[in-house]
Amino acid sequence: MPVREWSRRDILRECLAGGLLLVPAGWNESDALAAWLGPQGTRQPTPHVEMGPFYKKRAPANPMLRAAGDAGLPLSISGRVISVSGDAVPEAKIEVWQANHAGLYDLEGYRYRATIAPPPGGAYVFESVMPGHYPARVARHVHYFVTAPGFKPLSTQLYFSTDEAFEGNPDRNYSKDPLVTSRSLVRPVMLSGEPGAPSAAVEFELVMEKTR
Amino acid sequence: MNPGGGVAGTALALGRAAGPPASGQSLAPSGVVTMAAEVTSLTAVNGSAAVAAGLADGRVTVWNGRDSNVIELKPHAARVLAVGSTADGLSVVSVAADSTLVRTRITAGAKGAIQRVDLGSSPVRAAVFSGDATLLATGNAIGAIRIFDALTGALRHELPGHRTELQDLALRTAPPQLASAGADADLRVWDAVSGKPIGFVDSDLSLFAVAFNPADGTLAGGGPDRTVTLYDPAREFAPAGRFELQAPEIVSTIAWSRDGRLLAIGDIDDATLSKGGIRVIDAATRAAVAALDTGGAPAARCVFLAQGSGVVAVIGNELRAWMLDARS
Repeated sequence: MPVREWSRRDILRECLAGGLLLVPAGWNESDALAAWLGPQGTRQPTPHVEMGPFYKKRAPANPMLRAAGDAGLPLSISGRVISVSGDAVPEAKIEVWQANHAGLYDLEGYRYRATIAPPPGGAYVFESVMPGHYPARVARHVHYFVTAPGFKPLSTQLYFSTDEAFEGNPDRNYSKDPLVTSRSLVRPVMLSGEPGAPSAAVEFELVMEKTR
Repeated sequence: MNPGGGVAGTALALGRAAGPPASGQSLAPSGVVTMAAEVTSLTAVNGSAAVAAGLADGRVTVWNGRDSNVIELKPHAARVLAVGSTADGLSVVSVAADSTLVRTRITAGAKGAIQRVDLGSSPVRAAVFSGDATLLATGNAIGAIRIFDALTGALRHELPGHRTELQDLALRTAPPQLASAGADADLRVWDAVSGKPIGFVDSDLSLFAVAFNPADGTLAGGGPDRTVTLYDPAREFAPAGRFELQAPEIVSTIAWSRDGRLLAIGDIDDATLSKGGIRVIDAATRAAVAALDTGGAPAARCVFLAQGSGVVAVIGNELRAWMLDARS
């Protein structure tokens, strides 16, 4: 049996129909949808950040970037690829690449590079290590290049709130790296695991704009 | 350098090296001059042995490659994006981040003729003039390319170009062709008159530098794969040959000699981005002609002189010149 993908609009409509969401007398469904989706459903597209010099096409479709024995803090990055209206973006392709723990990019092969095709719900996850500092850059980062039919290509970068470069205050210091174009790209890091074997997790939502 | 006068003519020609450099041997610079600001662009001045450098403070400096004498021009109030030479070598044409396009006679204190060009709202990441400074091409941070008539400042074409920022552009004068290298690892070649695509190379890694052979239109490109690839204009710019570089560096800049015989290749190490050098190679035989001693520092860009057999490169805030023997 096919599984229906529910958009925020679908859910809102069902809630209205089922009496779970009450609106003032005189509002019709369109009024309710506009009121709900306007302020809360419309999102800003993820800010563009330049791709940088070390993008490499045809990275393997393997979300496990980390190999056994690799140096560095194990890192899990997850999120969703959605449109500005909050709906999952169909047929998205995410390409990610980053420096290794020592701050070096693999130019000969495909270490710490992957291509990810999220399922219809738009969720993605990959396993890596916390990237090191590349010498030409201030902040640790992960590159993303996201494409999908009918949407503008998105080139962006993920940063970490725990980065030494932000001196414990990313609100104030995020622009110490001139390529960090928005505070929203600096994401909180959640540590877990045993004290002797910690791992980190970060969520990063990718919001795409439709082509005009 | 001949203050108050033009730079064309033999008075500014580079001197000959004391003796021909042995093939592949290290060659010390014959001249060095320090610029007052970051050097953002460089071109050979036609009909002379001089170069023109665009600076981050809006100046354009013309240097004879020999001594500390320079002609300083101040055509702009903003960062110079590209500088070119008119065919007669008497003027330089420059474009800056404030959208000014200025043609200035190479005479100390000369005031240029100012026009405005529509560079768009996205920052320009690469810009280049054709060899006679009649065409200007720019590429921006989101991959769009614009081609201008550099005589009038009129926008001729806006091309979709690439999916993200440009790494480098090269313009061939005749026939007018534009090569664009994007960070998206695509190499595209365009007819600069019609704006139509005439070549596409689906590379794995991006190219940091592209340059047309002035003699036959062969395109050379290099980047992080540590090779220089030659692209054949007779086969829609399909790859036609590769130079495997010996040192483990990535290619940062490429220049062809005017006769199309020699290639200068600047490299930089990707681990520290602080080391590098320049080698000169015979493009036909692949033989090493010289290694230009940069003191171990990488070159941001380099050019062959229009007259004489010399190379000038940007090393930090310096311009350095090396003289090659004409028989090399």
